[in-house]
Amino acid sequence: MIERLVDRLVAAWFWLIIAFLLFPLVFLGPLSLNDSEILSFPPQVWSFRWYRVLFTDASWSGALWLSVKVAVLVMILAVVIGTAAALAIVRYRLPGARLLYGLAISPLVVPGIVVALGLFMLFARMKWLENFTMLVLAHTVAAVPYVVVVVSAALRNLDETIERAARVLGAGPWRSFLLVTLPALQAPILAGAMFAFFASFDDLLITLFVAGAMETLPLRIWHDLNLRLDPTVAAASSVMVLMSIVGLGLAEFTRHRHAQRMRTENGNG
Amino acid sequence: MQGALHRIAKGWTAPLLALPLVVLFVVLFVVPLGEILRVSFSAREGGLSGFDWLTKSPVVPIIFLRTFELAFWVTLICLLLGYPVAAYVARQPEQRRGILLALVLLPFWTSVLVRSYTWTIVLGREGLLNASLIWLGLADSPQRFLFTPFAVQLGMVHILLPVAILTLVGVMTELDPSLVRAARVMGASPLRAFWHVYLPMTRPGIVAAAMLLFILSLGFYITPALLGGPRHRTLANLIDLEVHQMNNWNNASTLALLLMAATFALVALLRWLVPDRNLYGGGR
Repeated sequence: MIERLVDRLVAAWFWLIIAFLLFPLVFLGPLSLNDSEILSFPPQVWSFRWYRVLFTDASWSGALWLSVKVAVLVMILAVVIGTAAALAIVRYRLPGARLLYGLAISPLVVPGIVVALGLFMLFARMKWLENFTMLVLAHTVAAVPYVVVVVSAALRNLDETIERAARVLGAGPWRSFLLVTLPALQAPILAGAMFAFFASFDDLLITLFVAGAMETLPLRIWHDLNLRLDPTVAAASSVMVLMSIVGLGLAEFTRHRHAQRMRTENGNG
Repeated sequence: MQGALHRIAKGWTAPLLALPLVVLFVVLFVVPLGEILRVSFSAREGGLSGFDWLTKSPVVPIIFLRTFELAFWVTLICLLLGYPVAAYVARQPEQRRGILLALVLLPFWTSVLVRSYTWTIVLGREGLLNASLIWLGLADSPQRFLFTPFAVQLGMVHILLPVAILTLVGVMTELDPSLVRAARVMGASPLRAFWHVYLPMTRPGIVAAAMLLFILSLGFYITPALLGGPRHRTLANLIDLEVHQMNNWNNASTLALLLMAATFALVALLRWLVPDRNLYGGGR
C-alpha cells in the first residue's frame, strides 16, 4: 500500500523534473516564432521573420556557416585522433596507457576558462590569434576527450577473440581492423563524432578568447546578448536545439540498431 | 626476416597511434597550462605579481567564497532533486530505461549558452515567471528574479542536473535489487530498507556525483554572467574581467592557477574516495 504510493510519487517526481529540464527547450519554439521586435509570450502574431534574418543577414548566416565549418573539421580530426589513441590505449597496451588516458580526458575536468586563458596567452605570443586553423585545433582539444571515452569503453567491451579469429584465418592486421574491429566500433564512433561536433559547435569560451574578430554562432549570440535582445537570438538558439535533437537522435538510433544487430547475430550464432 | 619486420612494425603501432593526440595535447593543452603557471609567477614591470594582488585585493576573497558557496548549494540541490529521478530510471526494464534516459540526455546535449539565455527571458521583468505570478494573483508587480543568486543557482542546477542523474543511474543499475527485496521479506519497513540497504549501496555513486558536480560548478562562466550579472561574479567571470577589461594577465593567471589547483585537489580526493571506474560511466 505505502509502497504503491511511494512508487507513484517517485514516478510523478521523475516527470516533473523532466518537464523542468525540457521546459527551456520547448519554450524557445513559440519565442522564436514571434513576429514582434520585443520578445513577448505568448506571441501576438506568429511568423518566421527572425529565421529569415538568421539565414539571410550576412553577419548571422556568416556566423552559422563558420560554426558549421569549424565543427565539421573538428569532428573529423577528433574522431581520427581520438580513435587512434583509444586503440593504442586499449588494444595495444601501450606502456603508460593509464597516464595517456588521464591526459586525454583531462580537458573534461579542467575548467574551460582556464584552458581558454592559457590558449589566449600562448596564441598571443605565437601570433596565432584570429587564425582559422588554430581555432579548429583548439576546439579539437576540447572535443577529443569525448571520442576517447566512448570509443575506449566500447573497445574494452569488444570481444577480442573475433578479431584474433580473423587473424588466425589469414587476415592481416589492416584487414582484420577494417573488416572486424571498425564495423563493431561504428556506433561508438558515431556517438563520439556527435559529441565532438557539438563540443565545437556549442563552444563559447575558447572562441571568445582566441577567435578575435571571427564570429561563430555562439559568439554572435553572446555579443548580441551584451548589447540588446535581438529576437534573432531566439531563432538561432532554436536552430542549435534542433541540431542537438537531430544529432542525439542519430547517435541513439545507430546505437540501438547496432545493439539489436549484435543481439540477433549472437542469437543465430 | 618478415617476422622480424612485423615485430618491429607491431612495436611501433601503438606509439604511432597515440602520437597525434600527444602532440596536439602537449602544444595546445599542456603548454597553455604551463603558460598560466609562468605568467602567474612573473611580476609586471614595477608592478605587483598576481600573488601580491591576490593577498591585498578585498574583492578576491569575497568572490572565492561566493564561488565555493554557489558550487556547494548547486551540488546539494542537484543531488536531492536527481536522486529519486535516477532511482526511478534505474528500476525500469532496459528498453524503457533507454527512452527515459534520452529525455535526460537531450537537455544535457543542448548548449549551455542557449539554456542560460532562455532562463534570462523566463526570469526577466516582463518574463514568463512574472507574468504568471501576476496572472495568478501571487504578486502585484513584477518581482526581481534576474541578476539574483537565485537565478544563477536555478540556471546552474538546470545545466548540471542531467550530469547528476546520469552519474547516479550508472551506479544504480549495477546494484542487485534482490538485496532490498530481501530486507523487505525479513520484515524491514520500506523506509528502513531504503535507509539501511539501498542508500548505503548507492553511496559511491553519490560521492562520485557530488565531487563531479562540485568540480564542474567551480568553473562556470556563462550562466553566472548571464543570470547573475556584474554583481554576482564568480571566479571564472573575474578571470575574464582581469583579461578583457583590466588587461592584467598576471592577475588572471594567478586566479586560474588557484582554480586549477582546487580542481586537481578535488579530482585527487575523488580518485582516493571512489575507484575510477565509477566516473564518466567508464569501465563499462
